[in-house]
Amino acid sequence: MAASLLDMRLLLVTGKGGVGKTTVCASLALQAAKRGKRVLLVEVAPREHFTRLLGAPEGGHTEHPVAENVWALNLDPVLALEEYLQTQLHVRAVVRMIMGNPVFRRLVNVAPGWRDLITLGKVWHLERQQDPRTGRPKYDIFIVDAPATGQGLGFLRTPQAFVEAVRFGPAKTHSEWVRDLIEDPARTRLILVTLPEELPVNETIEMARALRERIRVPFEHVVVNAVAPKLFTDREAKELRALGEDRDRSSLLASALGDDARLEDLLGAADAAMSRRALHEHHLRRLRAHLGRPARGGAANQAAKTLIELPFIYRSSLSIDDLRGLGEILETGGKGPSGAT
Amino acid sequence: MRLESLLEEKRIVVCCGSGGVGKTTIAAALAIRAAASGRRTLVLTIDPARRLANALGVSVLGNEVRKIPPRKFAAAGIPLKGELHAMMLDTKRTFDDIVERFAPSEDIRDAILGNAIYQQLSDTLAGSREYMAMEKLYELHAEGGYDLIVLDTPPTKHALDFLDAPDRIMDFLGGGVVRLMVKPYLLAGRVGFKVFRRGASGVFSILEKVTGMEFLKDLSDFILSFEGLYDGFRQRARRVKALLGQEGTGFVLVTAPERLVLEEAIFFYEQLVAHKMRVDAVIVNKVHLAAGHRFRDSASRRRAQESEAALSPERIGRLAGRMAEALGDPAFRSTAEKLLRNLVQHQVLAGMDARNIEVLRGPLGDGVGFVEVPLLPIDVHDFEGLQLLNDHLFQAQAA
Repeated sequence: MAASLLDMRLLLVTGKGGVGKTTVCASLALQAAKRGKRVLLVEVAPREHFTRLLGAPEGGHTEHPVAENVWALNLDPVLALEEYLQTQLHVRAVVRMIMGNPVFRRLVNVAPGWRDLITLGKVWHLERQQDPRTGRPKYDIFIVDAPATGQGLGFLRTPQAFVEAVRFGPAKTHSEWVRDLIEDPARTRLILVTLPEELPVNETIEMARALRERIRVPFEHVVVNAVAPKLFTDREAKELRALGEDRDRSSLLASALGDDARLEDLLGAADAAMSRRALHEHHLRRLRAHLGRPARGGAANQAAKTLIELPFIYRSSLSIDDLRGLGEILETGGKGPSGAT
Repeated sequence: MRLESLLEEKRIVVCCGSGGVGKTTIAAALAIRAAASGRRTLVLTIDPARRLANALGVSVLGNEVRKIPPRKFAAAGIPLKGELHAMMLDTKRTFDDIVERFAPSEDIRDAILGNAIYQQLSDTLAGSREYMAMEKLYELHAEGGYDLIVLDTPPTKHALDFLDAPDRIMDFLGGGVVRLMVKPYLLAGRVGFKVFRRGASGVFSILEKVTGMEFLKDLSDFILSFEGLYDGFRQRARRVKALLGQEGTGFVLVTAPERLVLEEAIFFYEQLVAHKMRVDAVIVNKVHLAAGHRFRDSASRRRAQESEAALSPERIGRLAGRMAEALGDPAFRSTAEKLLRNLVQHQVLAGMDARNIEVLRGPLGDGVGFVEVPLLPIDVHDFEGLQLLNDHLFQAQAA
């Protein structure tokens, strides 16, 4: 049985570019807030998608409110690095000297991995913060819009890579702390987002395999975004196909429609919707076949995955209510009354 | 520029754009078209997710050029006058190959390949994927004997990431930065580590405090062993940059009709132009077209939709009632309602895409080819699919 996502401290949301990671993050955030949690959404600069999606003003590299009980942080890795050096070196003048050093800045431009590490490190740091008045954690749940796949797995591997590359010293210890957070099944879940299309599904299957074999970040959920709803029953589909070939009935319908719509447009659009649905069902079956296998070891990474389907929404930009609806489905795993299954 | 002319005249076509827009598929389709029309074509992809391998039905492309068997063309009914080759770039292996090829001695080669920093860096160093793509592109262009190379690029937010990769990586390897950073360590290697440690100061000793001493020592070993390779790297990087700016190189910007994606495309376009790279064509992929495809360009499509006032729920109800009545079948009413609602939804999507696309067309300069490809009812992952994509890519322009 998969753990409830909203009971976690840290949700890392990843997937190929363009699959709707930001939508999933924002929907999860609204749902968590509805359950009374204080949420921090984290994305990595220069993006500023959360604020736009939620209709809030841009806030940059500071935690700023974007909805009730939801804050967003558009994390700037260079500023986060500066903050980190500050915690290590204490003296602001020294930090400024380092950050202002042109050689250091150029090194920072090319050096690998540190952006990922500092991003996760910042989350680790925030995860430990408490509200000084209440003693409660500052945020109950952190939702991170992680970089697109390709780089996505690298992102998750970075702390361990640093632990291996840096043999001792504070950076090694800190990398270990970050690694321990993202690998902790009591606190962290990775969520893969995909679309019901050929290549995104292939990539998701590949990523799930890599996660099983090489990366110990707890992973149980795959979110399939923008699934075409099943509009017509099988009987209706058959009836519509027959209708296309039946001249008499077609002309009766055409005259009933008059100038309001053309029958061929109606049938064409229906056909497009049905082929889309058939295609999506095909890819959902493929995903289920690959990810739905029962547990071998029993560890979180070995278990069968929960597949959550989010319906395609026919709107130019999603409203807050749309996002809330998707959030419901994400929490219940699509088994609730508003589920898309 | 029209896509036909692009494929006929250019020696290199670079497909760029943000992730998820179908760049790899478009690159494969263009390569198929060029090969079919008689050119010896290579399609080079650097995406680590093996998408091209899927698209071309070649299970492993490895890090070497494979010839696509002509029977694949025959099976899909595509007459083939040229040749098609494909390669999927493996960043780490390309880097290793370059080290093997250009290292001045075996000792140095082994020292580099065995260095812990190199192993971590070679495929994660910022820009190394892009840089290795450039290296490979240059090598294949110079030595491969291809008429045309179609390059699929990694999904970057900024065109600069891709264009500046040679500079950025040369900054790192070329010693400007790292050698200054680790110079004391390099010296220490010669005069003794302890002497150096006493004198270590400033940024260095602080960095040492944070990262640990070993890391910097590994780094200095790495930089030292790379010394003999710098000049070759720098020369090739310069030539690659020159190659990209040549008349024979064309850029195709691929995008999709979503607002955020299109905004990225505009940004990308402006960056390319600012860097004196010519964008020859823009392809908007996966466009929802109004029913019947009656209008080819987005402006007339939008006007048409605005004049056809959307059907209100009440009108849908009335129309569905009339349809059921006409057939003398009351049970048809709910099907008819679904039909009407579905059409309205399609029109909403088509209108939305058309409006978004118009925003993109504004900033595009004169002479930039512009093609819209409809969202296809199938997945494009085989030759038949790629051929269908080509029908749209090239037919859309003819209209």
